[in-house]
Amino acid sequence: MKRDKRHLTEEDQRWLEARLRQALAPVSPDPTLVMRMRERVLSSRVGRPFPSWVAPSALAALGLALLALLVSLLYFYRRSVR
Amino acid sequence: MESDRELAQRAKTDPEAFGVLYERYVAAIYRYVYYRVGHVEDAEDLTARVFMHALKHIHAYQDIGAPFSAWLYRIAHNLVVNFHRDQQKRQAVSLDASPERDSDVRQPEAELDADHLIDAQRERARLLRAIRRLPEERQHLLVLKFVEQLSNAEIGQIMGRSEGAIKSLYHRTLVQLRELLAQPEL
Repeated sequence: MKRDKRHLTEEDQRWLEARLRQALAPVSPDPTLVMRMRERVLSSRVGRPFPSWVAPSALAALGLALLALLVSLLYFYRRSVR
Repeated sequence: MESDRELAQRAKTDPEAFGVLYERYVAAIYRYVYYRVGHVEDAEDLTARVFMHALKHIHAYQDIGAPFSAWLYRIAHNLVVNFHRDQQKRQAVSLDASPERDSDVRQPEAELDADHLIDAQRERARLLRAIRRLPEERQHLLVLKFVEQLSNAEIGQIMGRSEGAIKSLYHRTLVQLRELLAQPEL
């Protein structure tokens, strides 16, 4: 009988997991490297261009301006038709 | 001790708070990146870039119930994927190119031990090669499970999937890994 390729017995799983645990042993970065990277990371901070409320406010203002333009166009169109 | 959530909030205006988060997670992110790229120098560089990216975007970080580390792992995963994409033209970084594997010189007085050690290292290198042939998300899962020893629920939070989906993905990953290991040319 052909073995189902997708089937994994408990024994298979235990064997694979044991090998994975052995192969993927934790590694640690060099402590001096950690400190060096810390300096590099913290010195990379760039200033935020705008506070977080700027983008939604700008979008709302743009939306209102578009709405006002549409209303004005409609008003002048109706006035010219009359 | 200040929680990650409080620190992340404070880090939006105070870089020192981000420094604390950095110290808390740098080793975990380094381990994760190291096993995804298989090279110390690249792992160091990418780890630094993960934190630089996090610091640059910390103002956009929102606590949605997942741990802060989940956000960092997602950044790390994306950077690793970009790294591999950029490296496609270059020869793949070999995980088995670690210094240990080059130690084929036998010590006559400990020949048996040396043989055993070399066999174990070859087996490990073969398994790492098989892992590197898995799709990105399956490598991601194995590193989180075996290097970081996270539970399926925690991995689910990081990968944006349910615990059941992770369990199922894990099973499929093991099946694929077994198939890869059965290939003699590996």
